[in-house]
Amino acid sequence: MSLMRQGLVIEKLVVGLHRQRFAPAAAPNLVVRWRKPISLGTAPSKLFRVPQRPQIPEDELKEIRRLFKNYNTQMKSIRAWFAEEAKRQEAVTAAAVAGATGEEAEFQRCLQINEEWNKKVAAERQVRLAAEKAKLTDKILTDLEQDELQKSKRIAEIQQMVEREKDLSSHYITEENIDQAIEEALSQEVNYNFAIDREGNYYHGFSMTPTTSHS
Amino acid sequence: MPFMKGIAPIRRTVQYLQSGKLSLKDRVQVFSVHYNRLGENHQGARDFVFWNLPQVQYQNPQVQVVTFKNMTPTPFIRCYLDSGDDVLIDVDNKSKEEIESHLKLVICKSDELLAKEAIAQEKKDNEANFGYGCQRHCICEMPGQVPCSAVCPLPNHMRGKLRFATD
Repeated sequence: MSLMRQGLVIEKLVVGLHRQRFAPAAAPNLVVRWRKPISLGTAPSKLFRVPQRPQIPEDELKEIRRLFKNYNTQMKSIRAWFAEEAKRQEAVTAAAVAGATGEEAEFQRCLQINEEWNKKVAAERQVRLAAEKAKLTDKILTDLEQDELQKSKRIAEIQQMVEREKDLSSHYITEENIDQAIEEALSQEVNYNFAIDREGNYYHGFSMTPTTSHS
Repeated sequence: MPFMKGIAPIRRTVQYLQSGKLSLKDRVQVFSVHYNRLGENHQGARDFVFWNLPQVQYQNPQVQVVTFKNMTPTPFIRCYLDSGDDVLIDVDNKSKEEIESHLKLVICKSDELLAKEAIAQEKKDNEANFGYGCQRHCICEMPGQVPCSAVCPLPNHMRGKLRFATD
């Protein structure tokens, strides 16, 4: 008996854990306090129940189906007609309203104004772009000229340098005349005891008479 | 600690937004501005976007306002209508004031229409209505009407449970 009681208690606990409230989808506001938990399984008395299918004679079934089909077709067509009628009415009234207020005409006038504005702006833009293009071409030509000038100047400078070096090359000390150059340098005595004035006149030693040469 | 952040935070004040003059026509669905970051001829468009675009969006919350930067040699505004057409407005080398006045002329509701709409709006807000979203929640708030039954119980001859009781 105690076992049974225990069994009952266990069952109750199990049942308690599974206590739920379900609402069938067809009536969502209906809330059922108790439903047998699925884990418990079907009761023995209900285990082999076979629900009785309704036996309707063939001809009666055909007649019922025919009636239902007719009804559904008619309802569908009526509904479609009403929908089309409503759409047509809406279009008519919308057009009437739009026509009455003259909005469309007003809008066309606005579009016209905008077209003229666009044309004016385009013309101004053409003028501006032409002026910019002319300026750019001028600038490019002047730049090219400047470039040419700079190039020729540079070439002239280089030429001058080359000429100078050519002239000086006769005085270069090379391997052939290095001995002679050394002898000359040693034999020559340079006197640094001189003064120089603003005109470039040399005053050698302590004399007051100027000379233009170095020695 | 700055009070309002940003370059010109006055643009974010409600007063500034409400003072916008451009109320676009109902048929306009998208308002797009194309301009560049650099270029003298784009300066007007840049100023318009900086100063007036927030006002346009505030006045027309149902319109999509969009900008495209550095994709065009000359600035323009394109408005797409609900019929699928679009209105092209060339704003090359125009100042912000010129752009604004031209838009008001071409693509915005006229002042008369705005006035008519304002009057219609006033008429819709009937002050005598009560309930959700209205100034008064219940008719019992008005002096002269039957007082609230939560505060002062109705007399027995007006109470259904006592009139139709069977026992």
